[in-house]
Formats: sequence, C-alpha cells, structure tokens
Amino acid sequence: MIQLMQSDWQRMWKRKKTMVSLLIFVGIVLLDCLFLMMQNLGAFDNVSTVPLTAQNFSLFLLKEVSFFLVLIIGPILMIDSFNGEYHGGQLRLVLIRPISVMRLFAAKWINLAIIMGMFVLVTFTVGEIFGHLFKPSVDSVVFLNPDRSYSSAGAFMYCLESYGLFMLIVLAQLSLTGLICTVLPSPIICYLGWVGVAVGSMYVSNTFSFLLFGMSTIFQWMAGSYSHAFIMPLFGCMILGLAVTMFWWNRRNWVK
Amino acid sequence: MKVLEIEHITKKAGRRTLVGDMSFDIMQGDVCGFVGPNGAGKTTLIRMITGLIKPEEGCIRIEGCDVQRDRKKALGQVGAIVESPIFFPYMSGKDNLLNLVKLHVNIPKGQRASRVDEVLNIVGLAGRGKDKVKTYSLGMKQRLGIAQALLGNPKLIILDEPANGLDPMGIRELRNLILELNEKHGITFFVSSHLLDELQRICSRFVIIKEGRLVWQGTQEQWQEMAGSSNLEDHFVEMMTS
Repeated sequence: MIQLMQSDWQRMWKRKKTMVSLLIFVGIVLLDCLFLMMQNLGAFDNVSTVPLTAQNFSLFLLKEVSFFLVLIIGPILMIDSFNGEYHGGQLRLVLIRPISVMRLFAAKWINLAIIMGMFVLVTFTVGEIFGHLFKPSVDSVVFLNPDRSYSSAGAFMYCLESYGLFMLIVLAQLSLTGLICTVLPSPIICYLGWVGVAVGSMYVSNTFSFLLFGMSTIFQWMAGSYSHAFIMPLFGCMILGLAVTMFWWNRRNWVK
Repeated sequence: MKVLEIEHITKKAGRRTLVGDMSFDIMQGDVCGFVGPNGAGKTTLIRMITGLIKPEEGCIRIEGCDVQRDRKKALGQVGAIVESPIFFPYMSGKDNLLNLVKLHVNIPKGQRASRVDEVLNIVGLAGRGKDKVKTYSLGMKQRLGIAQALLGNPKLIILDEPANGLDPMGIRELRNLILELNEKHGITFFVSSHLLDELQRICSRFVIIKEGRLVWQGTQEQWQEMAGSSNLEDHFVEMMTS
C-alpha cells in the first residue's frame, strides 16, 4: 500500500498541473492576505461583519480561498488522478502490475486527501502568521453569533474547528468527484459533471449547499444558526461516494 | 510446463460475443504468435490475461495462478504491452521505470534502481534513460515498453501488435530483442500481430483466432505442413475467408 502511495504521489508531483496549481494557490493565498490586511472588517455574509483581528484572520482567509480550493484545485487534481491517467491510457501501465485495484483506489484517494490537507494547512498557517504580524491582537473575539465571545485560545480552537469542518467538506467533495471521474468519460466532462452536481444538488435540497457554499454553512453551523442537517449529509456524501466508486472500480472493465 | 492456460474463456459486449469459449495453452520457452484479423478479439483476450477486463465465463491461469482469484500472484509472473506503449510523458524513461518498479513487491527497495538500470541495458536504452519519454521515437517507446514489462522478472511477456508503426530497422531490433530474451533469459512470449512474415521469423507456435473463436493452434512446422508451403499468408487468408 505504501509503495502504491509513493508511486502515485511521485506521478502526481511530476505533473505540471499539480505544480502550477500549487504556485497559483500560493499566489492566491498571498493576494488574499494582502487584501484582508487592507480591510478593517471581516464579513460573514452581506450583513454580518466583525473587526478583523489576529484571532479571526485565518478564518476569513479560508473564506476567501475556499471557493478556489473546492471548485478549482480539488476537482482538477482529482480529475487528473482518477480520470486523466485512465483516459490517457497510462493507468493501464499500473493496472497490469501485481497490485490490488482496490488498494490502488485507496492510495490515490488518500494521496489526494493528504495534498488537499496540505493546502488547507498552508492556508491556516499563513493566516495565523499574517494575522499575528499585521492585525491587532485582542483579548475577546466575537464571531457570527454576537452572544458568544471567545478568548484568544478559544478563538484559535474555533478557527481550528472551522478548518476541520472545511476539510470534511473537501473530503466529501473528493468522494463525489471520484465517483464522477469513474463514471464519466473525459476530464472536461468530469469537471462539468462536478460543477453540475455541486450546483444541481442545491436545487434538490438546501441541505447540500455545503458543497458549493462551504464557508457560509460552516459560519452558520459554528454560530448554532444553521437550519439544515449538516454532518449527516456530509458523511453521507463522503461514504456513499466512496462506496459506489469502490464498487465501480472493482467491477469495471479497464478498456482505455 | 504450462505458463499460460486459457480455459473456456467467453467475453460478451451486450449480445455480441467478443471471445467465445476459447481454450489453449502456452508452454514455457515458447514464442507464440497470436494471429487474427482486425476485430477478431486479440486485444480483448490480452486485456483479460492482464486482468484489465473480466471474462464472463472461463478461467485464465498464469503459472498456475488464476488471474481473477489470485490476481497479484498471477500478474507477478507476467509483463505486457497492451495496445500501444503509453507512458507518463512528463517523466524520463528511467523515472517511468523507477515509478513502476515500486509496484513490484518482489523487488526489494535497495535493488529497484539497479533493476531499472539492468532492464534499460537489456533493451539498449541506457544512454537515453534520462530523456523525457515525449522525446522518444516509437521504436524507443516499444523498447521502453519491453523494459517495463521486464521489471518484475516475468516468466511470460505479452506484446500486443508490437511492430505497429515501426520502420524496418525498428522491427528488426524488436525481433532480435525478443529472440535474445527468449534464448538468454528463457522468457516465454505471446505476441499478437498482423505481420505474419514477421511472426514466422520468431514464433515457434501459433494461435489463430477468427470472430472471437479459436480456429487453429500448433507449431509453425505443423502449419507449414498443413499449408503445404512455407508461405503461410495465403493459407491464413484462406482460413479467414472460409
């Protein structure tokens, strides 16, 4: 399993798209930091704002970066790994080796989860550093719910928990994209498929709005004002996406 | 000793039978030509042997290991180029092999790099190993394809239309490589091709299929005897049109 992961990891980083995504991501994080440094207020939505401080800077940085992570970097890396290699015929080179197909799937999925985790961790670290360097530190912080205030340590944990929830959304997204990449034929159709699922799910029910508007959901969930189920649908998407994709991988004919 | 056993293999696509109740064996040390017209089911059978697709019925064994039930052991004995030699174009030839050798658990970590150098030497690509695959000619890609097939010290190598797109020089190089690997390393080859002349130069046995069914199998001498000539092409065309 470790060897499978190492092999896939090496291929992932040798692809130009991964390096370009990383560079663009770093650029966007830095530009967002500069943008936030010029602001005095952080906005949860069109109405609710709070003063930007060292304690909540990383949370608002994630809000700025999240759309890019969920709608662009995550799907691109997933599609490259799950559909691009297969579509280009290169996955055949791997599949004819003495390996388990299920383990190959697991290795690819875990690698993508790790790389997305790295992106999220970089955002958090940069946000904390910039916040503490360039924004005032305060003793008491308020987030979306004005009735709850947090100490510095409490605010740190609040941000950490929000990042954790965001990572769960990313994992759910990876599971669904994995399924889309397995079912649909080409990388471009896969990307359109993912956007279609993310947007279309909102027409089915607002419960799935976290797929597209993750940070808005997280803000409301953390404030205790989110009116839909969140954790269950989140894990539902993750587990169902994984289970169906694994089933499909196990049964499919690799004809490309 | 049987290296490859095909037993009553059937594969369908909807109502159409791609491969129907096919059975034959390949013995150790054979260089076996796998011949049939376009759409006869050659690539489909090769995909089933290499575990890429699953048969509806029947069993494929490599060195006695069932490809479906004991996939890892069975595929550990085989190296293959299925269809065309496609690689990761953004990596060098050597990096491609270093990446793939990690998937062979029978090669210890410390011996991976030397195994890659060894197979690059065998196929005559040691001098170009560091170049990106996208700069390789088709002939070099075929040789790299054989190098990746050799990585796990296989008993059987399967080549699907290996001479496709090669110039006469490339075909000769490939032929010499196959014969050398068969004679020096005792590797069994199962080679599908349209080029009967070429197969005649290297193959001791032939398996002939038509419309997914086995038409004939035997040694080259038996075929020549049956055809009444050393020119097998006319007899092959006759078999395919009758």
